[in-house]
Amino acid sequence: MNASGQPPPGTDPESGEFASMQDLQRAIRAAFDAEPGPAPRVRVAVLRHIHAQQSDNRVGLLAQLSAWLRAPLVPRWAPAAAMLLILVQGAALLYLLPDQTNPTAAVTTRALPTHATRLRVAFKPLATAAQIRDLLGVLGARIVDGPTPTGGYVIELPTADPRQLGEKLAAARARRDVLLTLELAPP
Amino acid sequence: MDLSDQAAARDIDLLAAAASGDPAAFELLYDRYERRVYNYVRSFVRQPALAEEVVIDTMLAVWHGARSYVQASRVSTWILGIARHKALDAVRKAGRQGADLQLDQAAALVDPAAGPADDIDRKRNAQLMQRAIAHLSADHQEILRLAFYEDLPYAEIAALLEIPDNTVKTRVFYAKQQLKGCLEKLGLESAQ
Repeated sequence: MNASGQPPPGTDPESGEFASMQDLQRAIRAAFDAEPGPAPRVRVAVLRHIHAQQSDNRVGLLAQLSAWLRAPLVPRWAPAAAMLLILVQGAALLYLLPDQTNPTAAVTTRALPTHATRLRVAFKPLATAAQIRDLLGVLGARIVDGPTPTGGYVIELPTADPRQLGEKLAAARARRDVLLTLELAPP
Repeated sequence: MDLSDQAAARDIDLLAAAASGDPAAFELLYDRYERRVYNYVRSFVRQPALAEEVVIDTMLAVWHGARSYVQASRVSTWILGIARHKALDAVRKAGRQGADLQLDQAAALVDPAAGPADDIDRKRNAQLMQRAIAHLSADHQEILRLAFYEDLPYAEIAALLEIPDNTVKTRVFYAKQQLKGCLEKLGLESAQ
């Protein structure tokens, strides 16, 4: 009977051969059991290889983990994105900068051309500040210069069509109690 | 579950643990198979040093290939199959076939560390059997080892040796006949 509880291979349990085959199998097993094993160096060599591989794997895993953690910080697309940003910035600067072929166009002056109408006015000496504000309100004007030594002011009216401007001026001239003179100021 | 099945189940557990990278499990598996693989390899490879190299190659292949084991056969069949291929490769590379061991070489197979003095008879019987087995052809030694010592089913032996089931049966039959003849001959010689 072998270890699996089956009759020895090649025997019939009902035959007389069975008992002798049991002995034969036991003897065979004993003979194989008595065989010597390999030298201890074999076990040492195998296990050393495996433990060395385990160590290599651990180092490899740490390296992989490190690379994985570093990947978001140094993505491969970063250089491309940086280059793209530089190009966009360059294009924006070229678009926004003034045309350098006409340097005078870049010079700003304090005397910006105005499209408003300027009038030189003089108010009556007895006119009150409220009356003057009221008149300026009628004209929609603001004082931009003055007073001069002779009591004159320069006022500025927003651009309007000539008909409206004429109506406003007529209304202003009608205010004899406030207005002394009213004339166009030289440009 | 009998002892053989329990051992097979234990082997599967150990191999699965080894496949997941557990060196301690592999160490246990190694200890269960080292001697068996070595002596199986010795059926093909005469030089002990070369046989030891084959054992190293085999057990490293088991470690590296543990994940490829699919339970189509016993773990023992799988491991011995690897050992067989490695041994035959080694024999081919060495340019010689593993010839039958001579009687004086067979005597050297007895484990010098075996049993105490009161086991002399058992030791002598084992030695006699070893010498008788050593007289057999490599094929017969192998089939006896696989069938009687490794307890492999005929179907797995057939798959391992790549021969038909019926060939396994006839080979077992003739191996037993040869062994009996050798035992009778050696028994007479020792009696004289």
